[in-house]
Amino acid sequence: MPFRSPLFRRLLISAFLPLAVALAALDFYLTQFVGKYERGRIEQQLASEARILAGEMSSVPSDSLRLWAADAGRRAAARITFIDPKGTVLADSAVLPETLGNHAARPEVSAALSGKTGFAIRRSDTMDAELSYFAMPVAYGRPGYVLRLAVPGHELRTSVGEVWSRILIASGVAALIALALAFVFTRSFTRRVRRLRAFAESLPSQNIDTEFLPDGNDELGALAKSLKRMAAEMRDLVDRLSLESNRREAILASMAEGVLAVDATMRVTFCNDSFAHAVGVETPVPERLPVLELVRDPGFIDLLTRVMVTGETVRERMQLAAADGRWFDVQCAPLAPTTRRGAIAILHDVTDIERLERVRRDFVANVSHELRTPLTAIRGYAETLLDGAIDDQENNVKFLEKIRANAIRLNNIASDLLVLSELESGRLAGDPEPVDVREAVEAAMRTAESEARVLGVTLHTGELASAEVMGYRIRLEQALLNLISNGVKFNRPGGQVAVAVRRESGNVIITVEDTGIGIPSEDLPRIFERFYRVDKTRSREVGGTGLGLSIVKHAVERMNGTVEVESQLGKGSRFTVTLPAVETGD
Amino acid sequence: MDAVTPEFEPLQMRLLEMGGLVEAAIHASVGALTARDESQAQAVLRNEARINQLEVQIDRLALDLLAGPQAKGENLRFLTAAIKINSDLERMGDLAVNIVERALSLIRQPAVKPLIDIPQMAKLAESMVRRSLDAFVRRDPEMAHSVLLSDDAVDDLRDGIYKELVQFMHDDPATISRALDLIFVARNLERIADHATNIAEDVVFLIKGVDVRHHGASGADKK
Repeated sequence: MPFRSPLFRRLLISAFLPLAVALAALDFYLTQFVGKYERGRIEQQLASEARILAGEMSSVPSDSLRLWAADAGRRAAARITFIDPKGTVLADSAVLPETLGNHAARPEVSAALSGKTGFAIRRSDTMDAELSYFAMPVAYGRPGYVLRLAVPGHELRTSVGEVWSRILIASGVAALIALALAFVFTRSFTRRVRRLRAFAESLPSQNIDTEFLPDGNDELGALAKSLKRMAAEMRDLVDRLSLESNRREAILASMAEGVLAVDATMRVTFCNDSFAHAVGVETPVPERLPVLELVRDPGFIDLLTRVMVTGETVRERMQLAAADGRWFDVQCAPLAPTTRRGAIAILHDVTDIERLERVRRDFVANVSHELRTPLTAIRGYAETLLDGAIDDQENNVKFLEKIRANAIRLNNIASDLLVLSELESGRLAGDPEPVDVREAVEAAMRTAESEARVLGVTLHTGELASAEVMGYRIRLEQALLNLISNGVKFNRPGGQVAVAVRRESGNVIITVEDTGIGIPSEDLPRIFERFYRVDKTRSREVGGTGLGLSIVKHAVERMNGTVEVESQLGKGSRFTVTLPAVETGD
Repeated sequence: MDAVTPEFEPLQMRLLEMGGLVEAAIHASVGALTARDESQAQAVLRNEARINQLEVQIDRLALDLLAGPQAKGENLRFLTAAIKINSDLERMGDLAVNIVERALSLIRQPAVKPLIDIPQMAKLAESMVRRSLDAFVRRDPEMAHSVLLSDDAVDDLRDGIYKELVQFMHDDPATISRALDLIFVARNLERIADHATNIAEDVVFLIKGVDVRHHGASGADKK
């Protein structure tokens, strides 16, 4: 309904109301004017009739005045009254003069008595009707008499009423036409405004429909045109922005680092795939998910809260239980400048770096510890000997042997470290050459044999395929010796160590399997680290330097091979060395 | 992850916050022992007050909600589960403190033996706690079942540890007090695992409305 629109109502009223007021005013004025004009006309008519009658009357004798009055009244179609200077009615065409009182007070009569003509429209008590009276002074023998004419007032009323009703009809019709025009114009105007509004409201949305926009050459049309232009610009801007934000989101999403943004209420506003993957949830993560439902680690939650409170960027290394205990460098920054404050955390997985750092820390600690232990022993025994034990025939040789054993140990460590650094730095003596694997295995077995016999461990050889690899004979032999020797040392009396060589799709695979004590699964990833010992006490008892497996790993890697280990606690371990074979042509 | 009824969200958030603190406490308590790191032990003792405070808050919140108009149907199950999980978490926090006390005494003395089984047991117990809470957050009955299935493995590890340590005490009476401490640690870890199992059972009840208590893992396996 158009009437419900306030704009429509206002426009309609403002268009129609002035017209209605103007018409009403015109009506009133015209009615007044016509009334006045009619009054004047009647007065004039009565005046001219009165003047004629006054002429006639002067020659009428006084006794026949009543007859004359009745006759003149009939001729003039008016009531005629003749009044003497005292106001007494002498003759009247309508009633007997005796029934009438003194007329001197009647306005028209009193005007005539004072020598002027009088005109009045008023109710006549005598006739019980509205009459128009005209009175004029006349001379009847002597001056001072009054002749009065009266015609019924409805003549005036009728003519005025007729004029009035026509004007009314005309202005009614005009008002109706005006109303209809105003209605039509206003409706179309408000409709156009409504369309403009609908269009402006639809601007932020993507599908902008310009089809129903009003046109035309007026201001509304111009407004529509500017809106259209604005819409196009806005769409351009939105497109550019969304492209930009898509690009950024794509960059964030494809980052290897985990990215998590939270708002001030600790709800997720953005979470990339890397982060979701790290904490083991499926993507996409629901919008506005409380961050606690992703990560419960108090350290992480505290970090986010702290950054939001202080507004400072913080970098921290932490282990996240939510990410299976992996280590992260977490860089956390406030999300500024936004009205709803939040924070963004970028998680860089440093589990491997952390492990390497731990290796390095352990190495420094271990190397000093490993060197100090034999040195302390040597110093202790030397001091004891100097303090007089040198003369103790029972023990002096034993002490010297201890010193020698520890010196040998130091020497072993030093040479193992040298080998390792040589392997690591890649400065190996000479170029790689073909090495017969079977010969290397046999040489290593021979070297380990005496130790195996002492510990009651049997050495077995399985299938020994003949094969050649490119490398360094001495390093391969040493690596194999270290593996076999470990199998022997970490074994139990009556145990076995089996070595086998086989060829498989261009590779030479050497396995060293023992029936020893095995390695706990959590230690497996670290056994190739320098000085890493699963069982520190036992390792030292059996005279290891803690560098054996480290040398194996580096030696094999120098020959482009790999070494793997499987182990079962209490059952034994199997080391598998895989080296690329040299095609010998047989 | 289904959204919680909005009125219940603060309750769930506090429970998760508490869960995070308890998980961290368990991790640090064993870390203090294996890495011989007193600072981790102190951190556990520092956080205990916060855990207890949260327990009280959670109880109050849950009771208020229980008296409210929403406490019916699934919501009622959620509230009862929340109250039970709350008390399980609080007990786990206490157990972590117990472990820390033993650890503080152990790391001031030489090691009886290299710790192999206890870290393994701790790892398994931690994973059970984590999975039980993840199952709660994600309303994931499969994950809750996986917790129930791990309980036996924890018991086996504990039995192995008992046997080994008894042997140590038998061979060398000097190790008795330290070995006993280790046995207590193992015992506390096993109880932590039990509480994780309770939480997993509550989660299954919360999701399915099925009571899986007192049937063991095999009962829980049937769907």
